[in-house]
Amino acid sequence: MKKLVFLLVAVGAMLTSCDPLDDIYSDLDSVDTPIVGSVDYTLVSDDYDDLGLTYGTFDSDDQAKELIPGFLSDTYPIWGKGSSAFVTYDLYKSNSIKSTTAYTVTEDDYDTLGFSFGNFDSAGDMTTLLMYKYPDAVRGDLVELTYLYYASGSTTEVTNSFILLDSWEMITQFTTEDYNAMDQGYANFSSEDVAEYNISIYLKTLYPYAAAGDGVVTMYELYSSGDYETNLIPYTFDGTSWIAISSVISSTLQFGHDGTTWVPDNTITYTLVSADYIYMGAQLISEPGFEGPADSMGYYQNFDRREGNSAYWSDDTFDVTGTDIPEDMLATAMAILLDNNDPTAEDGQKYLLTYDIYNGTNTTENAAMIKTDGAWVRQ
Amino acid sequence: MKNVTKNLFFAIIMVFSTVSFAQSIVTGTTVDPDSNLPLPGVNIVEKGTKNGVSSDFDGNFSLQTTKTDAVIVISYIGYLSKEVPVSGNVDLGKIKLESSEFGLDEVQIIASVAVDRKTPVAVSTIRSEEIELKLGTQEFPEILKSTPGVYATKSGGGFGDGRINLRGFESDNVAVMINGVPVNDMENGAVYWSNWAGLSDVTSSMQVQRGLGASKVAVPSIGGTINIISKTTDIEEGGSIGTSVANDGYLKFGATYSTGLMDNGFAATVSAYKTDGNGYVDGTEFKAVSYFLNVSKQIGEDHKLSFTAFGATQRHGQRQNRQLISTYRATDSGKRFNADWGYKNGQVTHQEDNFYHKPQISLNHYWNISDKTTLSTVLYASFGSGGGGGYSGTNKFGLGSDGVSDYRTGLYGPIDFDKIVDENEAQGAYGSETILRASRNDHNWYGLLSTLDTEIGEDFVVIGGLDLRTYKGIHFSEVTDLLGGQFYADDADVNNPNATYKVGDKWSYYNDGLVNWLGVFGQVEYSKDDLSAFVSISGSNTSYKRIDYFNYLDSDPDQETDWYDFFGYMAKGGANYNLTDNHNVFANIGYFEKAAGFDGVFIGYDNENINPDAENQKIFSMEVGYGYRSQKLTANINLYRTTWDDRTETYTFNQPDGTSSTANLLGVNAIHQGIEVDFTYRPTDKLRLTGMMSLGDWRWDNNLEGVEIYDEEQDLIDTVDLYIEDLHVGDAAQTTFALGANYNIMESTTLMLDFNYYDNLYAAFDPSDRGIEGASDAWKVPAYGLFDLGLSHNFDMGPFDVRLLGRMNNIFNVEYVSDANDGAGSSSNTALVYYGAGRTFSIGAKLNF
Repeated sequence: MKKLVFLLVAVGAMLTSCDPLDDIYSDLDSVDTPIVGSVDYTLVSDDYDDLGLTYGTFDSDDQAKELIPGFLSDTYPIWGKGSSAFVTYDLYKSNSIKSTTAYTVTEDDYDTLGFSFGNFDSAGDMTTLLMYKYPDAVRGDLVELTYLYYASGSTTEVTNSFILLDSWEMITQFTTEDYNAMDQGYANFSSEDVAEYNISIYLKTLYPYAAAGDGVVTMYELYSSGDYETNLIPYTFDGTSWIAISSVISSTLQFGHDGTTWVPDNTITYTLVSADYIYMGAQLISEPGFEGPADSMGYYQNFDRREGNSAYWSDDTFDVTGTDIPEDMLATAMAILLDNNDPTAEDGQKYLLTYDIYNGTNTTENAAMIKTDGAWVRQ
Repeated sequence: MKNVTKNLFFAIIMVFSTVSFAQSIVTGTTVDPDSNLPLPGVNIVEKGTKNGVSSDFDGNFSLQTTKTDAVIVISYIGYLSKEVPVSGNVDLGKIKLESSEFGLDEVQIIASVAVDRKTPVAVSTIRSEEIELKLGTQEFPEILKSTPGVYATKSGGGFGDGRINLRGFESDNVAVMINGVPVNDMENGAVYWSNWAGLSDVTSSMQVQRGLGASKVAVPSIGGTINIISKTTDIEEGGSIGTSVANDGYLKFGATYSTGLMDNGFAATVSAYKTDGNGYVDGTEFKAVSYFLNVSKQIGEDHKLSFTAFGATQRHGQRQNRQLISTYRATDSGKRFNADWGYKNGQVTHQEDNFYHKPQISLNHYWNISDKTTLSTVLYASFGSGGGGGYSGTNKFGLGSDGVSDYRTGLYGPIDFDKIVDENEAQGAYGSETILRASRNDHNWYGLLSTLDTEIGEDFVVIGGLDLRTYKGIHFSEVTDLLGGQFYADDADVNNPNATYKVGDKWSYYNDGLVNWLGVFGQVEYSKDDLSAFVSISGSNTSYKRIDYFNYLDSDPDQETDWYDFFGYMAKGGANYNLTDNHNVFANIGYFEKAAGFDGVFIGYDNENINPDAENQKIFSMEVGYGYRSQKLTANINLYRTTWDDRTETYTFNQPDGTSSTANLLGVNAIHQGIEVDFTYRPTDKLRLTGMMSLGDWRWDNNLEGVEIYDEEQDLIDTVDLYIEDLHVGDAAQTTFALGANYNIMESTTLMLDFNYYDNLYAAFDPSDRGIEGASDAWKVPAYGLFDLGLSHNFDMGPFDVRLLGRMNNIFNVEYVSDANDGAGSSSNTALVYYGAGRTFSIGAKLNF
């Protein structure tokens, strides 16, 4: 009797010794399921110190792109593929003069650049010359340019200073009368703060019809501790006041984790809302092959992902039969949506879209899209 | 000295008395009345004494009486006690005990309960005794899990959500009859076991007839017939009080009482049980009250009346949404995980639930017209009320990306209904964005089933009868919870556009499905010596009508359709031959045509797209079997082959005038064939071994290629292809086997150990969706084996005969997938599954008096 029970147990144990789902579990476990995080972070002074940036700023965006990934890896060591970070940092854009050159435009210059009258006649012409003449110029290079300029029926030789900041800009300089008008006894300022403030007031007088977004680069003499120093202040008009542009600019870059490291990334993550399904449904309702799926989507506000079902949204471009023409229906719908929601996106813009589906149960899927040659395609 | 003399005298008297009065020995053999097999364990007591024995497992007993003239009382639970006067040494021969339940024999005839070694079908029968020992907290259909051809699971795991497939066929192709009354849904044929919560407490026997079965009435028995016979009423007075506790807060208690057959001819039994608990699966709390009433009366010699009413009112949280294996794996709850519930105002609230109450009421009349002729009639009614809960409006219930959702508390956490309530409140006069609703599926069903049974000559029995049913299904959606909003706006009702709804209102859809059924049947049985045979034919006309109160204006004649008639019929026959007392062989063969279901006629839930020519499904089945009966070993083996042709398959398209039309696609066929073996072996008095093996080969038969659909103008609309040839049928394990041991440790203590194994289970899929050539089999779910353990102990306590029962199911806590729906690519990564329950336990006590 006992033998029989043992036999029964032994047979059973043999059949159950391995858990039925072990193989499936080990397959699941062999696929990395990274921790996906998302953060908005603004670097603080300690962070710059850690990065060896003693001035608390980056010198260029390229420097930020090079250094920030390492910082993110150190700060978020457990985050993996698919994580994203928006990092805000200070970028130092020097407004100081690094070099000064004087140049007089020659006849050859006018000829070469196609100014057949031998003079300039619009503001952009000087920029054309400077770009031609100083292709290797760097930020802070100043050129005192002497050139012939035609205006109001006559041509005169003028000299103006131009400086390369983000682009070549003509410098507004001040005469003694200007300084006087700005409440200064001498042709200089003795305080940077006073200079910034007073110039901003004075610019309103100089440019009473300025439009929002207009910019001016001003130059003034600073007398301080017995020395003279030439300073630049770029201003931009916000519609009401002239605002000095600081040399320290707050910038933001987006980074994504590619599974190995953080890389600069512009992916926008977006979860579809009801209106999106209704819009896509309406756009595709009479498209051959989409009638059923589009109708279902408009009604249920999700994608039917039950393969073989009449309302099935395919994501397969693999033609099995040679008779049907399968297409990535999901990507087609998403492209229509993105064209509507973000029509001005530039090439290279990426989206990670999360959308509701029904595959027997209500759940979600993701699609990564990128704009390439003006069209949205699956990434 | 005087005392010594007196004692000596007594002693001598005593010795002589014994010698002079105790010489009689009574012997005999107790046998089961149905099977004629030995019935072990029967009590044989000399009346008025404590002198008694039990029959051994060959049914034999030998009792030495204290007097030459004595009365022997023979009793066994579930049977009427028998008193036999004896005088001197006597061999009583075979003693057949009669069932103690009033009217049980008659109802077994109405129900076409198969008789061993006579009815030529493959059967397994489970009696109340075994149900009590084996069920525990399992779902009712799971009682049958160790019988061949059966795949039974808890589905989502909610209370009453169990399901059973027979020989690979789903519930709409498995006939379920309770006391001979068919209970498959009149519209779609499905069986909802939650309608029958509590039935297990009042079940007298449950018989599975696989394949065509023995039923005389036309029933959809493609896979088989499950024949449940409820208790009727006990002829002897008595009752029981029972309670059990189990895992996850399960508590059940109740009582049964029978008056016994009283002098005025009445007998009544009442029973009521209350069950509640939290459910093994998260968010499947349940409450149920079940009741049973039977009143019977003997009227004169020839009439018996029996009134039965039973039902259960229940409400339970459900696990409706299946999930990916990776999702279960990512959750804290694992196999218990359920996404469909949450908290509202601190209370557990179910996104998906089910509530139902379906009293089944019948009046049975048995009339012995003559010695040879009887008429049995059942007049019955059932009133279903309830439905399934879910949500409507904006879906805020998703699990979100990797389990993170604004509307859930924590990773893969329960639903935060409070947030939904806040948002609905903020909606103000715009009304709720998201609500809870119930899809109600009420019905009123009346039927009459009448069978005339007459013997012609010595060897023939002719049976004929009527099966009339009228049914009204009432379908609507009901607002059950506005979740904090002021109302819910919807414009589905054309008679009430721009309507706003409150809790309890019908909204979204409201329609009736009317079904009338007229069936006749006839059967001739021949039985002589070792041969028995039958031929049976039946025909039925099903009429369908649909009324739609929401899609059609009250003034629109289309609101109510005409009646559409469909005719189905069945012809079958079989024979059993008992080669010897040990061996028997049988065979049966049959063909039937089954009318399409309601949804195959009214397609797309409207009254215009009607399919008046819906094709019958055609079923051809044959089976051969062999049985062996001996005192130690009972064994059965049988082979079957069932072809199921023209599964209802419709294609809807637009006619040139814009109206829609339907084409019936023929040729979606399946072949289910296999071999089934089961045995019971009793090597000793104390040990009983049971075993079962079922090997199925169930496949879709053929592809449909290039089926062309034309409109009225003979323009080609579409070409339909279905690639299903040789694909395994899903949703039921094709290979199952079971081994069990039942060991009496002591006379009143029994230990039970059962092992069940399931293999070749393919994920469920719809063959209508297999339009791509080269598609492979559905995902094959990993095979699994489960051990169950049980222990019962009986003892006397005052006037009570007490039984203690402990059970543990899945004792090794095996983690397994019991139900799966196939996903893209047919892999474990995409299948949506339910996990089966892990280890569960129950402990119960029953006091019989």
